[in-house]
Amino acid sequence: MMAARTHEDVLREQYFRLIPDIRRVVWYLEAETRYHTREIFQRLKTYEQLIIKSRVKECESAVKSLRRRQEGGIFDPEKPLNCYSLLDLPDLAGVRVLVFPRRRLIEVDRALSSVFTQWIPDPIPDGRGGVLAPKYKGKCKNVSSEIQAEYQIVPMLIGLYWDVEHAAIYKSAPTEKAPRDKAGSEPMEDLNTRVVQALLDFETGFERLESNEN
Amino acid sequence: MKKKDILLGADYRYNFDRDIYFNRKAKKAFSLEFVDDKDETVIRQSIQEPTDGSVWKFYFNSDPSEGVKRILEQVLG
Repeated sequence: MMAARTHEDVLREQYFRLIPDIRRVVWYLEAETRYHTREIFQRLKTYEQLIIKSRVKECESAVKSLRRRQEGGIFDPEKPLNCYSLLDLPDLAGVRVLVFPRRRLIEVDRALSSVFTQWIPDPIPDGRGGVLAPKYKGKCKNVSSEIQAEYQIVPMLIGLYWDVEHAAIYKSAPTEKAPRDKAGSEPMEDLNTRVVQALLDFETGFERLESNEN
Repeated sequence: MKKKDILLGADYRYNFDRDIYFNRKAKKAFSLEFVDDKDETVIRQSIQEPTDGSVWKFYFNSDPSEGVKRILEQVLG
């Protein structure tokens, strides 16, 4: 007897129906981002950086992300199939702009927000009432009216740290349970805050040096 | 005191995958949404609320279905 279909099965099927559109959105968003930041890129000093990365959310990551948005982190088995949709995710397509030093972040933010005027700000907080990284969500309507995308502009040091931290916590699980316990644990939260603060301190120190030289 | 600290202080642990605080001894679980939406007093009252301890009690914003409860009970042990 065949096993009954689950919400996950239906969502995986939906994902593969959507993937051509998601790819088109990522391609478009990355192209627009590169085009509208090209002048900043051309003015960079030798030690400054502006790197644009794009990504299509992977199938399992998308399903898991949607599941974790439900209260209790569970797709309700009593609800009808098709009641959940990956189109509710705000980041099926994403672009991240990494910049160094931090003052370039403001320039890039200004350049892009003048292009993506309808996009909704959803900044990543720094935990002290400020903004660590500007983030926006919206749609590239001339490419797809369904897929929600996001772009974020991140201080490069923080962005590279996030790449390592995210992979360590979410992807390289030695067991199913261990890393999840770690990520939510007080020591990991505390370490994370201290790393981010140290990287921000480096940026601040560097800015001070730069302003002394000018 | 942060609501999170109230729960951790009462021996609740955080399940990262399910976004719930749980205490196996008390057989109680709080969803993150419930903790976010309710004030400290409600959290404290809920922690202290007596139960017979035979079945899990879930503090959610929307009452979980029997199916959701079954899955969570398996996860929480």
